[in-house]
Amino acid sequence: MGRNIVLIHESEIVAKGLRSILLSSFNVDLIHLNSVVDFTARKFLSDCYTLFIIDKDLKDDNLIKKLGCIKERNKLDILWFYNFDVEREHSLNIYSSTNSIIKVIRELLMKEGGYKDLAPQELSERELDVLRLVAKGKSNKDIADMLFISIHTVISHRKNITDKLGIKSIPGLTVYAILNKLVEPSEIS
Amino acid sequence: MKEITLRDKLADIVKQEFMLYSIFERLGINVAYKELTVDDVCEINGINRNLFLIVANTYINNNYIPEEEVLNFPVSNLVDYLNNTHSTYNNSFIPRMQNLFRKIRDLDPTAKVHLVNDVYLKTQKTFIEHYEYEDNVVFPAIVKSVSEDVDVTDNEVIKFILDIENDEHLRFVEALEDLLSIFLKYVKPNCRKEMVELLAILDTFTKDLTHHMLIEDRYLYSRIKNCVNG
Repeated sequence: MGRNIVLIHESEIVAKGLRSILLSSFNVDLIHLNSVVDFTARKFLSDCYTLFIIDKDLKDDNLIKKLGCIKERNKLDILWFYNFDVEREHSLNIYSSTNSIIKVIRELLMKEGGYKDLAPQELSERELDVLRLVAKGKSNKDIADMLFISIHTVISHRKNITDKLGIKSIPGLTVYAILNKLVEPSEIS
Repeated sequence: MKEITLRDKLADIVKQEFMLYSIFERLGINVAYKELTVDDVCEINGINRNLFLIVANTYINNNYIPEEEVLNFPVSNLVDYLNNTHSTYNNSFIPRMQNLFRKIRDLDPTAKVHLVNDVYLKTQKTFIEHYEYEDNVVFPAIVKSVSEDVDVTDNEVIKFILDIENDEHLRFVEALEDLLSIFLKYVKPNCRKEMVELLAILDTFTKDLTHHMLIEDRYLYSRIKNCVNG
């Protein structure tokens, strides 16, 4: 299941910091909007779970209404971002540490977004499919035939897997797949 | 660390980079270092000075480029050093790693180290076969070719030498690097002492193997490749 995070904050500096933390910690599609006005221009109705991180200072009744409409169709959560130091459930503030930001967001993604295990989910479903077959000793051509994709696409997926995991060799990828229960040891040729 | 020269004292070099102690032993240095310089120990132990400088400087700097005249050394001396390195892997690194794998598996079966080792053993087997073939077939063929000034004619050996160009060596190094990385990130057994030892050996082995591959590729195979290609 896909996951989106929509970040609505006027401050470029805050948005840039959050963006950096989110993209380095979660495999999600991230959309940043500078203001609520931009919100209307976007289409958020989809099957994906969406987490909204919204600047609490953006007091806009229309925004709440729009989110209400979306909530009827979508799975979503709202995480308010305060520009002062405050401790409230499902909130972040400008003094939140990187670890606490990751912790709060991870809990929400795990709760609603099917985000069960951080490590394997760093890869897309297709990349996980490719990784399983690599671990089983399949060649690029075998993988292409089995997944009905081109060899070029397989190579591209493998490059992404290596980039994301920092693991380059076939034995390394195989061990990773076993330890993360993506394949059974008995399946390894 | 600055480039090693013939005037440097061996003890000073090793104090700066301890792993060179093992490398020097493989080069054939078997004396107490006292205040001896590189030049002295090469003289005493009959070691080619150029080979010493290439091997030592490549260890402290992967991008080391020797002067033209330093490239002049007997291939047989280099092959002796490479054979000794293979023996070190056979008699030291690999058994020590396997011993620690066994210990960790026995102390904490839930850590799944045995699963990691099962996969790694296949790579290790390929690696051992690779360097046994080098020791027994490829290196003797190269030494014969150079000493008699004739081309390598054995097709299997030619194929092997050309395959080295296809990053064959790099695959072994990458497998070890990945193993270290996976242990750091995903394995946490309840036997810290053994785990620290295993990580230390993996780290040392990876660095040693990287150096070994550079020496083989740059100073043996690249030298012989023109003959087999021609």
